[in-house]
Amino acid sequence: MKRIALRRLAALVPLVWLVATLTFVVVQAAPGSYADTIDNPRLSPETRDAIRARYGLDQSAGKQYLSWLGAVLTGDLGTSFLYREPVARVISRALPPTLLLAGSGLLLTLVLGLALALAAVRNPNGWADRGITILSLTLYGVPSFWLAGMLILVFSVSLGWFPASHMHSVDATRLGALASLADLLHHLFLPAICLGLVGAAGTARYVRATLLDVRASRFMLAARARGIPNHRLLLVHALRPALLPVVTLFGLALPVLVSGSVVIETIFSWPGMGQVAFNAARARDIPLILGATLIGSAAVVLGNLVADLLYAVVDPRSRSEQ
Amino acid sequence: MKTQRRLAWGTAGLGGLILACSLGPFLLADIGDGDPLHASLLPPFTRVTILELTDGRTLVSPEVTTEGGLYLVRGPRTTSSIPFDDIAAESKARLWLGSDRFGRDVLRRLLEGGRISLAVASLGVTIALVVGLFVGLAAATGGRVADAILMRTVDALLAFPLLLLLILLSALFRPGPAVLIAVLGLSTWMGLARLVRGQVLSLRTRSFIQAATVAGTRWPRIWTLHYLPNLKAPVAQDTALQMGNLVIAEATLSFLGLGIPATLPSWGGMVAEGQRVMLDGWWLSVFPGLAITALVISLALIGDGLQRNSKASA
Repeated sequence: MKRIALRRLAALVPLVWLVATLTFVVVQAAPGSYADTIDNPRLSPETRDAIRARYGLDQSAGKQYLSWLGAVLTGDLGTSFLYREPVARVISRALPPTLLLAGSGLLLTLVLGLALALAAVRNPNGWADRGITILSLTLYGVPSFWLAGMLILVFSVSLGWFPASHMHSVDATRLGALASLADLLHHLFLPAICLGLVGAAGTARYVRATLLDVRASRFMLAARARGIPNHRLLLVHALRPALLPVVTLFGLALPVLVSGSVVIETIFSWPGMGQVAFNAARARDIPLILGATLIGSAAVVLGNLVADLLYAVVDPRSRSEQ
Repeated sequence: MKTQRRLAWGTAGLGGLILACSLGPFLLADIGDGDPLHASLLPPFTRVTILELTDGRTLVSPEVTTEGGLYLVRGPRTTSSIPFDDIAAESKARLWLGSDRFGRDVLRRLLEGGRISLAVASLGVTIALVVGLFVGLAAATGGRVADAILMRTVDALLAFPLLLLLILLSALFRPGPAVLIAVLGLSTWMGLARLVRGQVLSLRTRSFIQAATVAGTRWPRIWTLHYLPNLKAPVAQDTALQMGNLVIAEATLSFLGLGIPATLPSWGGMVAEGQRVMLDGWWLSVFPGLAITALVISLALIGDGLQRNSKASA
């Protein structure tokens, strides 16, 4: 187990390097550069050249790549063109809000998804099951940017219950610790619900199908024959094997945890990684694009690894195979 | 039985949408490029009068009256008076889903945007299908070295956070519809390649294929008779679900202003535009969102139906 984990961790490095290199190639292949994205008609061609030289954009692609790679190996991600600060600082500032938002979204996804699936399977094809099936199918089809807009329209604009954007109120610095936390949660509610609802729909659909499969298996029949009560049958006997796909889903969700949901963060003006990556891509801020990609792809690979390890924990059968 | 019904509902939904988008624009009254002066932000079901002028302009307004040889065309802020002689044709129509800021028919734009969404998603998924099938088959049959190279490439590409990749590519290259299709197709084939490779590798060990090999059947026959029929169901299911993902991806990119150019109607772009004037017209963002939802649900139902069918026959 341990050796497999270590080997997979070692394989992470070349994979992340490959992704960063591909990103570099793509960014270089695209027409234009940061100097062209500065939207100022009074900028003379000479000034644009000077800007290009200042950010090292006048050097050959190979040279730029090598100097970036050399810096990364010493732990320096470079300086962002757009924010004019070290990439590491931009990312470390944007990461906590993203972790908070995506973490709460993931929590809601799991809790809501499992609750819906269990409620549906209690009585397959009953009215609750039908309702939940229709609900989760609808939520599955709803684009998250549209759901976000509708939630804002109803709960912020019409009812005025929740703020529509940002992480804190304007006067948050004057609040006490407790009030400030309440303010944060108040702002967190709508974006987290939005992520949670969309995620829960997929999870519920998945888990419901697996639970139904598991219910039909012989060990469930045997357990029922032993007189085990229904709720225990469902919560203990059926749920454990049905959690296997959820573990995979969890691994798939980790990247979003780190790279942020671009759409939700943009709509709710949440100052996280998604917004940073979006701004970086639009401004051709090469060091920041590469930094965000490094973090994002490392998260994907780590997420798969964590899912595999968790898999071994949840499913004893997969341990003996390795 | 229930699976058949899912497949039927999904097919009906998808077929209905395709039919509506391809025929709808011909059946609707044409209000030209819209009338921003007199017909902006009309709510759904508004009945309007369409006046075609002799100079080629089209005026649209819910309130048109005649007074002393003049047509009075009322808008929210202005009233235009047009002499009888200047009017070439007059007709009435209903704006079922209202009009937008520029006085354009929302239903017409919705249907025209649907054509683009459907075309982008289906062409994108075709590219993903072709590349995924090719890579999957090549990896499964091309020997150990080819397999290793192809599958490591797939791993690396899957290590890209997908939406981030799409946003990066579209922000960098500012694609037109054609490039957008290529970008969507070329960034979503990896799952299918894995699926096909896995299927072929597991089929190879199945006794009916080994029996055919031992019996001396030539490989083209084994492929057409044994591999392809068994690959069809999982591939079709994956394609249906993938197409739903592409619809959402295209809509998301267009919503962010990185997908279909703003000069063309698109569902994602219409939602974005509608959210900007949400307080003046809820219908502008509600209906395109519902259209996306309906399309994705139809595709998911088709995918579900195909999956359960293949399970039942296995």
